[in-house]
Amino acid sequence: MALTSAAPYLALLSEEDPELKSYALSSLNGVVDQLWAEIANNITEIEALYEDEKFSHRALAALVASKVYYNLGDYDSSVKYSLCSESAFDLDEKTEYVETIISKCIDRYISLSQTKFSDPSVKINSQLTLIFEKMLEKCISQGEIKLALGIAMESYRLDIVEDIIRTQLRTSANEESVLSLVGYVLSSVTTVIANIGLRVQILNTLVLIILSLKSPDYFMISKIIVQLNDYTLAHKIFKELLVNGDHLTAFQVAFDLVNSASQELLDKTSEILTKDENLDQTNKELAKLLKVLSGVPTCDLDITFLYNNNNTDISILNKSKQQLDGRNSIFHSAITFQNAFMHAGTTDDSFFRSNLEWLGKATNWSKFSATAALGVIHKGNLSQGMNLLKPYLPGSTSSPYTNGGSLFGLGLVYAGHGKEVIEFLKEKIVENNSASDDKNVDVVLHGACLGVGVAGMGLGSEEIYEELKTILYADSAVAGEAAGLAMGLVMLGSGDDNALYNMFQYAQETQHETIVRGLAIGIALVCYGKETSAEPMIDQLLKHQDPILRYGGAYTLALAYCGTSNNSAIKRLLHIAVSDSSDNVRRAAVTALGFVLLRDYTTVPTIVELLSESHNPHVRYGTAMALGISCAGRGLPAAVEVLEPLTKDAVDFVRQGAHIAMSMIMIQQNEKTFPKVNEVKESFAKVVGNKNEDSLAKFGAALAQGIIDAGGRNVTIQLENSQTGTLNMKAIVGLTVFSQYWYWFPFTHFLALSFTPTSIIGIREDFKVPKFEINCHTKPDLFGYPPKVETAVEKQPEKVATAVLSTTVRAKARAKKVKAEKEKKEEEVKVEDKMDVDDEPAKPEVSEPVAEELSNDETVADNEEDSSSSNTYYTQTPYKLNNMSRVVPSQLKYIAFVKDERFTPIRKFKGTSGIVVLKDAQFGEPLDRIKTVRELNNTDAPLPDPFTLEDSDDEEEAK
Amino acid sequence: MATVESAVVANGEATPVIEEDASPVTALLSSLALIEKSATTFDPRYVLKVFRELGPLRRKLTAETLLHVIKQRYPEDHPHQTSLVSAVESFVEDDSMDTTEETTGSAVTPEVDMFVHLLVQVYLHDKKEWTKLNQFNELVIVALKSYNRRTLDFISAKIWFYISRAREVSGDYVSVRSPLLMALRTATLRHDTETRASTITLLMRNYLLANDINQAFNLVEKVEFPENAGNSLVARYFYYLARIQAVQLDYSAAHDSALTAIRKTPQSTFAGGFLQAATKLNILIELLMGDIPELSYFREPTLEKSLIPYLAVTRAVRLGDLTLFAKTLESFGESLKKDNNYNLVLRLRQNVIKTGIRIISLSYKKISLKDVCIKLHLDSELSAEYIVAKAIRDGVIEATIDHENGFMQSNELLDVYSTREPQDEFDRRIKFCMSLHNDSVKAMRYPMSTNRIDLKADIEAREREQELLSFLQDGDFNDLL
Repeated sequence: MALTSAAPYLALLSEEDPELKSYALSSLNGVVDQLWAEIANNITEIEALYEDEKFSHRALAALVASKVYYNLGDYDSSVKYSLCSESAFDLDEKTEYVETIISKCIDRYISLSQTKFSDPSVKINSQLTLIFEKMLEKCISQGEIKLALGIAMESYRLDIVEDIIRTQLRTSANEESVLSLVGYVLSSVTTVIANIGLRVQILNTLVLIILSLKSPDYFMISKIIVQLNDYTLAHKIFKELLVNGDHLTAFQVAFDLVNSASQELLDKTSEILTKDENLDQTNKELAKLLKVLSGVPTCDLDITFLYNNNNTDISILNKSKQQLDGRNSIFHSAITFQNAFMHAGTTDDSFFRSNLEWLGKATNWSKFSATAALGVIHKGNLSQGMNLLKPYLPGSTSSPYTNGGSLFGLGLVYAGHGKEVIEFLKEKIVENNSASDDKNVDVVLHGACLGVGVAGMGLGSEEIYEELKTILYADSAVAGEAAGLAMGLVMLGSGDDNALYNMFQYAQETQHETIVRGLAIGIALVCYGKETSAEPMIDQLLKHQDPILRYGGAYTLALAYCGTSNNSAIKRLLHIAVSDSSDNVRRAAVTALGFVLLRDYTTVPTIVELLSESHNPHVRYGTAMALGISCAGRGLPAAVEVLEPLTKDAVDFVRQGAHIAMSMIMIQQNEKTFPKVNEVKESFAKVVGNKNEDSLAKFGAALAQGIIDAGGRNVTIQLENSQTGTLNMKAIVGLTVFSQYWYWFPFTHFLALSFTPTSIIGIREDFKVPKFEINCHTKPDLFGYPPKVETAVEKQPEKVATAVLSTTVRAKARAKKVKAEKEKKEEEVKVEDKMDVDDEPAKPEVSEPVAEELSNDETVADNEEDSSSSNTYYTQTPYKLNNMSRVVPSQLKYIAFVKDERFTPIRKFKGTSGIVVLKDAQFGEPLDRIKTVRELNNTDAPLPDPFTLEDSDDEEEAK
Repeated sequence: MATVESAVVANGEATPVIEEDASPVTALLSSLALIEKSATTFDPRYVLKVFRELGPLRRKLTAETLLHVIKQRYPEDHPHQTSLVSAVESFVEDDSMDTTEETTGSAVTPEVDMFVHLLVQVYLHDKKEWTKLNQFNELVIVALKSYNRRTLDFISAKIWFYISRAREVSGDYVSVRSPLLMALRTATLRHDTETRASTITLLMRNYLLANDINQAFNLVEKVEFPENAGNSLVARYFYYLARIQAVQLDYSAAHDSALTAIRKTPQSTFAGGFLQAATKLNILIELLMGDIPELSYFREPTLEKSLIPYLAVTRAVRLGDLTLFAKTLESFGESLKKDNNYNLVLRLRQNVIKTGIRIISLSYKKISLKDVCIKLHLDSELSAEYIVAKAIRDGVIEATIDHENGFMQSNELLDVYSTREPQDEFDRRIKFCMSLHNDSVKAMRYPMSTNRIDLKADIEAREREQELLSFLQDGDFNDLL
């Protein structure tokens, strides 16, 4: 290129003759890459040429201008002029310039198109659209269909998404591939698309597409039903399935829905199913379906699993009880919670029964918690719940704390399946609402409100809401707090404007801080999952001068954007975390990060790492909770690394938070899957046993002991439903209210809502649980129960402790000592005996397969050792698991059903746990089966037709 | 400009001897290993270490070593193998080398490939085989375009230097501009900081050498020099910038740039040539601004000899003596021309006169124009009047002219401390100190978080850090090739 200056051409630009000008332009176009710096001085002239409508080569002028701007690094202007240059801009040219401009065009189109979606007045340049669509076509023609779908979704072009899938449907004969595309769209819709309106549109379109297939995938539709919360769709699908006689699939879909959908959706679906005149109401299958939708079988099966496989290490609990003085109410509560969590859902309340003296030490609110703990232990025991709590309910005893606690406990038993008790609880509220200034009645009301809230969670019932409102307006600090919270629970995720308005107004009026706090969290719950539509409320709360309302604002932000990883939400939370004047608000903001980043949990440790070193202990505590919440049940080592220094923090409540978070992360881990777990458990025990430790930290450690071994070591905290990929609303609500234990210990029980049983339960179409075996392609000890704590080692410190005691308390002790020691020894022997008994049923399950495998192929085992070191735990030869036994989430990928067996799953098994409907190849033949808890309790009832009998049973119980 | 070049050449000779005993082949292979490591860990500091050792290595570089390394690392069918071999082969004198050795390198990573290209460039450059180098460079450009990796940044920056350098030596300034501009564009798009900075300076140098000041200015005005480019590149950029600004009469900006250039010069002896050139330019700019540089400037041991002509010029300006100035020009004209500074010095004539007038106005409260004329060796009283009037208008002196009686009356000196001037000066200095502080803070490396030091995952990272620290202490930082 011999030319060193563009001056001659530039001079031509100011000539009169358009011929000369166009000659100058075309020459400049050739040298612009070398001489752009010089040409840039005259860019205004070139732009003027483009503006000149009489000029014939306007496009060329625009192209030159675009190239100059491109070289100047001003890509926006460059894109603008390249769009003006129309045909002069050659899309197929393979230069950096063209590639850059196209990619910028696509970016711009996407952002414009997104704004256009919410604001139709936005105009998009037709050339821009043309480029975008051309590129998409290119993409599809090269076979990158998923890429094209992704971009189309990102630009909110529903029409293109639909078009692509429909064309694929027409062109490719293979329905599988189309289904995989639909699956791709479905999963990206839930994780990527922020706009709710679009999400609903896409999901509706997807349903139409799936239904148009020859063999529609109903399980995919069930995911969409949960996403949309659309009961008419559910009704439609069930009807279709029933009419087609595919009732097994219908049952499986129903079980999935019970697991992941809101109570409101289930209720409404059953309601219209019963009212539908086109359906044969006497149909047996319909009755069964309705039964499944009522949630009763699910609860029954879960509780049976937890009851049969209960593997609690009672020695840990006993030891903590010895070390924490029951006369101190905080320690008493700690043991109550530890016991409640360890036995959550197992129906094993023996600890209470064998420690009646200790139980008697509970006073006031710790009595409330202790009674409510029964509810946690019997959670899901729908058939007996009422009977169990009867002795404590109002009318039976006089203590208002026991009464209140039992009402709350009743709510917990029926959490999320509250039809049978809501009326009863509501009655209690109505009975008492006139006398709420009486202190005793206040406590009962507190329990009743919480109970109604938990039982009627997400029911959206106006009636209950109104009753709660009257309690709230009575302006009593104790009952009002519970009422505010319960209003939120009942209207969970509804975004109801009226409710929000009432709650916010009253929160500003009332003088009681507790009520404000209850309402603030209630508002957060109402806004659950509402994303942008919750913005006005969030703004109002966050800007409010009352720190408690700002605190609620942080939680509202957390729940509204729960699991979305929304950038603006994260940014705002981080800002609050470092700038708010109130410590409480900062703590809440950091904790809230955990909720927002649920799905992106691996990023949380890096995001909060700096905050974990904050000078402010509240921020550090928030960090711990954020990690605990986001990584709950995931066993993420990076999170534990950040938490470890916090467990040795100088401030007691930070240690408390760190212990709790640690246990939430490591729940259900054993030596093999997480080598540090024993060390951590020991550190909990050490903190509990340390005399000099602060009581808050001890409380945290005791709670942690309960959480890490929760539910007889058969439950985990799972915030995302594995079946549907949706968020587990119940678990998230549980965690939200649990984190309020900071102010009010009884709220600790809410964590029980977050526990999910980890098992595979195969059932037949008559809901009977057959005994059969499943293959697990890995080593048996990899996911086994962690060994129980050895008692022999523990005895020594105990003795030292008693020796110290005996010297201080002299004469009395001497007399008692002999007696006490005798008793103790006996007790210990008893405990050990019991443990042996507990162990027996568990052991053979595990050890038998080991023996089997070893005898089968010892040589293979060696090879496996090698392969396991390279991080694959897959083994060719599986070991057998019984139906209804513990399968932890990370174990699922090694599970396979045996082919050609009598029982095969109706749905192709895709690594999901929970209830699996089985097809029985030899239906009608005798069955070796596991009896459920409900069946065990109905021993005297004749067997033949269980549904009608049980239904009538239920009614009786409700009365 | 010639001095800069001499610095470039001197560079290779002055390098201290490290790793004397290691054979060039093993040294080269270890460099290649480091480069691979840099690519896999995305840590550019390993490449910097290799470049630092390139100085001693290049003196020992022979065609045999290169050939050996190429044959060992490149598989036979590698597309660049033949071009590399043919570029070096003709220089191999001792044919007895074991060329039959098996290739051990499994795959050549782009980084290693380009580094070997760079070595060949360096070899040809040191052999002064300009035509060969130019031909080879064509292939290098093609090879470079075929890769798109951020880890190549540092290597490609160097490669472009040699491409440009080869053309420059052959006196062909224009043809290399187009590829350089393309490279600049690509580097900007890909955020390759080092290559971007390198190509910008190379283009500036190219324009300046061709005396195409306008184009150079156009370029500087429109590109954004990357902030975090290597120090030596920044120094070079500011030097060229100072030159452009000085020619364009923007002396105060030029002065700032020249000072920055001097400040950013690496503190090692290899950069002496550059420092000399920058100091010369700075002295001239200060003179042009009407300041007299301090004498201590000229007494620096490393600079003293090269600054003699400039000392003479400064003297003439300080005394305001036109005859002395003319004499100086006569005696040192050649060396000034060689430094490419002659035209700037010529501009100083005005300053000589102005200084003269200033000295006069300071010494005499009132002086007749005739005396001014005699003192300054001017032609006539009329021209003296013009010059004095101009000086008053420019604010060089505070005085009035009595035209009727033909004398110049100096005004009473203002008390500077009653004006804003001391404040402004103070402000300027504070700003300078602050920016110096900020720059140093930015240049520091912070240790890893102390909180997590005992964690297992970090042990490896800490080892890496230690290793690098020892590398960095090995010798003075110098990548000013």
